[in-house]
Amino acid sequence: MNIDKLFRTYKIKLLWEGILKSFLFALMASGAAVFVTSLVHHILVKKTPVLLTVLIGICTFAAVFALVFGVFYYPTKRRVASRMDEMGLQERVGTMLEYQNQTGFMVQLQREDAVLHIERSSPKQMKLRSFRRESILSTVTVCLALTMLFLPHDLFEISAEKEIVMDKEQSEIIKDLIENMREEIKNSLLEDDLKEEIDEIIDKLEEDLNKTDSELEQAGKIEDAKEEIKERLEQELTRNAIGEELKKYTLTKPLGVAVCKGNPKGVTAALDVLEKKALIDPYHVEDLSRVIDRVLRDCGVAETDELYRAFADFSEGLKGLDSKSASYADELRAVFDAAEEAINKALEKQAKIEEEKDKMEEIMDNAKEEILGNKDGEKQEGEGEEGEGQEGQEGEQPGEGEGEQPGEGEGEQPGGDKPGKVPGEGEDGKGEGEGTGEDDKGGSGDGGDGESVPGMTEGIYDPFSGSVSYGKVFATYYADYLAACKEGKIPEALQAILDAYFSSLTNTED
Amino acid sequence: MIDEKDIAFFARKSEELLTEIAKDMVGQKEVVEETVIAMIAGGNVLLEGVPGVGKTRLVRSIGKAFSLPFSRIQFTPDLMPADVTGTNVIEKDDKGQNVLKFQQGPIFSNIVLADEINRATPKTQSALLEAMQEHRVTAGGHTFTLEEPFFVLATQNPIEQDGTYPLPEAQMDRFMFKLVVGFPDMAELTEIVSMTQETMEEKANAVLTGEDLLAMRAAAKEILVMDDVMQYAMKLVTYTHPELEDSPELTKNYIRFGASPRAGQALITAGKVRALMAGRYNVSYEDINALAYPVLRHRIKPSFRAVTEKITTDMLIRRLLTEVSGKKQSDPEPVTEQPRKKGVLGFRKS
Repeated sequence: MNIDKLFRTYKIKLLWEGILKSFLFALMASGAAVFVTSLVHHILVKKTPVLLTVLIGICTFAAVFALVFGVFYYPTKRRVASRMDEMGLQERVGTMLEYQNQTGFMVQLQREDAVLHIERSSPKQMKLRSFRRESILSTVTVCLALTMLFLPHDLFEISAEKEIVMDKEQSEIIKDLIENMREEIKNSLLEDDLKEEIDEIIDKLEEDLNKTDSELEQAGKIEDAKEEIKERLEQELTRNAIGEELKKYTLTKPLGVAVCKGNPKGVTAALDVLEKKALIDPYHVEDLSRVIDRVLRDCGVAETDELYRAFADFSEGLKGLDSKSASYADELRAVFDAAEEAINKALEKQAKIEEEKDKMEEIMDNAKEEILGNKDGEKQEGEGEEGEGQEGQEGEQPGEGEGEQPGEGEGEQPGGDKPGKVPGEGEDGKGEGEGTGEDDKGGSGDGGDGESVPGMTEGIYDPFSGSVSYGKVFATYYADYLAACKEGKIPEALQAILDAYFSSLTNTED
Repeated sequence: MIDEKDIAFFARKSEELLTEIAKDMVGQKEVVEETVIAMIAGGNVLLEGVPGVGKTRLVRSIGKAFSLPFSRIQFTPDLMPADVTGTNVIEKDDKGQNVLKFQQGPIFSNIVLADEINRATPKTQSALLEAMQEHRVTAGGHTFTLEEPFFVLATQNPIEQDGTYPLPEAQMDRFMFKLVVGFPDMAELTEIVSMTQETMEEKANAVLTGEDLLAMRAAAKEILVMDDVMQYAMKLVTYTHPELEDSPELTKNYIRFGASPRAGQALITAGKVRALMAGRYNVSYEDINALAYPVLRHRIKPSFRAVTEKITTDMLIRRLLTEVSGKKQSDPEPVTEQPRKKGVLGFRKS
């Protein structure tokens, strides 16, 4: 009895079933692969490579088809027997297959019985498994895959970094700022390591400025960098620390005052007085040395600091003097001369550092103003009519620069409860510079770069100022505001309101 | 070695047996069939049912159909073990001297009807244990082997459990089948009453001897079992054990104790008989599914949760069969009601 012959028809039927099922499974898998590949490309890459994705799909299809068919659906004898038994043969075929290599009466009997029942059955009785579920799933998967493959990429700008688009002028301002700062530092007389530190701050600033196109944020970043540089340079200005300590002692008070002010002549004069005292009374030398030691101990300045070293050497020099020596006066003079030179040299250096600090601050403040003014300058309307400081009406375009410049400095702050107008600055509230504004009218006429905010028709009343440099004061006020925020002086709830306020001042659209 | 004659003999005798029993039993085809299967397979049967449904009548009918010694033990609370196994009595021998002679109890029979077995004390019930399992009785220091074939057909009443002694697990496990004899339907009840108006006596004739039964047993033993079917039966038994990792959640939640290995033996042995009775020479899944209920219902102990949720053992068995087979189970058809096709040897009527 040939089992293969018996099974042939059924095996063919199951073969087709297996191929179809495997095909549907492979279609599902390839659809899923195409879907995932397309999705990944959409998210990570701008363009979806259709050909590559399709290729991945085809490879997945082939692999899954072969695997599924070979492992799960290939009609082995055992599977065929099992399916035949499901026709109502009650495990006759399976048993026959299992005992096919055995002999015995019962085995033979069972075999004959099985064959008889197989012959009575028809392949049509073998019901193929339903394909409905697989068909639906594969259809859905393929549809999703095709949809994902050909979906427009614009919908997927999830991780795409927003391009920072700055206008040309803004980029120019930033570029100039960075260049100026670098140039300034390069040409300065600062120590090399200090220059390097400042350069790093400048590099970071450049990076931060290029990450945003918001003027407010850029102004904030500049302010932060300014503070950082200022702080760093002020660390080098040790004269105040030493000077204040010197001022605590009657003997060295004049010297302390001179050191605090960084006044070389004052230092020379103070040292001359001390020299004369020492000459008259040698005990003053000891006192002076002791005082200097205490000052250096209490001032908190690093021992490597130049001014510190100058005073330290001075103290050492004084200790080495012998009042009984014949050349006491000459030695005393030499010590004082050396001290004077060293101290003045250190103070000169610190003066230069201070100068450098001021220059950097100025560069950065100017850049801030320009950035914020740039935003305003393009679209801001002029502030108010002539003489009508209360309402900022459209009219004159003050342009930039001079106009009515109430002057800088700490001006009065009139009741600035009208948004849109920046209170005037200046000592007397009156414009100092040239301008066309009328200075006996409150508010500003047409200010220099103090354009009014569009839509703001009421200005801040400033009885002393005829006009306000809007761009200048705004930048300063905003910088002060940022500094106050950093110091935690402004509550968070209020910060939100103020941010909105400042933002509205730079809003160029109604 | 069995041959065609043995198979033909089996077919003929099983038909005759069922026919004779049917003379006395109306309906209850499944119960009758399963009892016969158990007897051919060499197992004991516990029949449970309300009074008057025909438990004792069935056993008596079987007793009549088998031309085998039949004894009946009515279990009562005051029944002593010696009343079951026998005892030594003093007799006078030929010389007139008093000697002790062992008087065999009712258990020394081929077919023992243990009526209302749960009414006897555990001590008396245990007297049956050795006999049921090993077909031996130990009494008075002597061990007596019981004549084959030996069966215990016990009955019990599921109501009026007060004052009864539920059979211990060990004894329950020695019954191959527990069959539930249900109440007859209207038509059956009418027929029963009509039949018994004529006579209450059983009409079955003896058609089978002990040797015949042993020959049938030997024939059934040769029936083939496929590996998959064997695994299926064993899986069913292991799935009744909640302590095993692979057991389904159903088992862990609703079964307290699972079936013993005797359940696996019973499924296969009885499955072979059932298959041969159906004209097949191999055991099928259907045989296992059908026999799962009588084999497992007295071997599974439901948990408290099953009791509170009113889940019976039959419901648990049905769910277990669904778990094992992966297909929803319906109640199995009795073998005698399955469509019969002409077998190889033509011993089935078409």
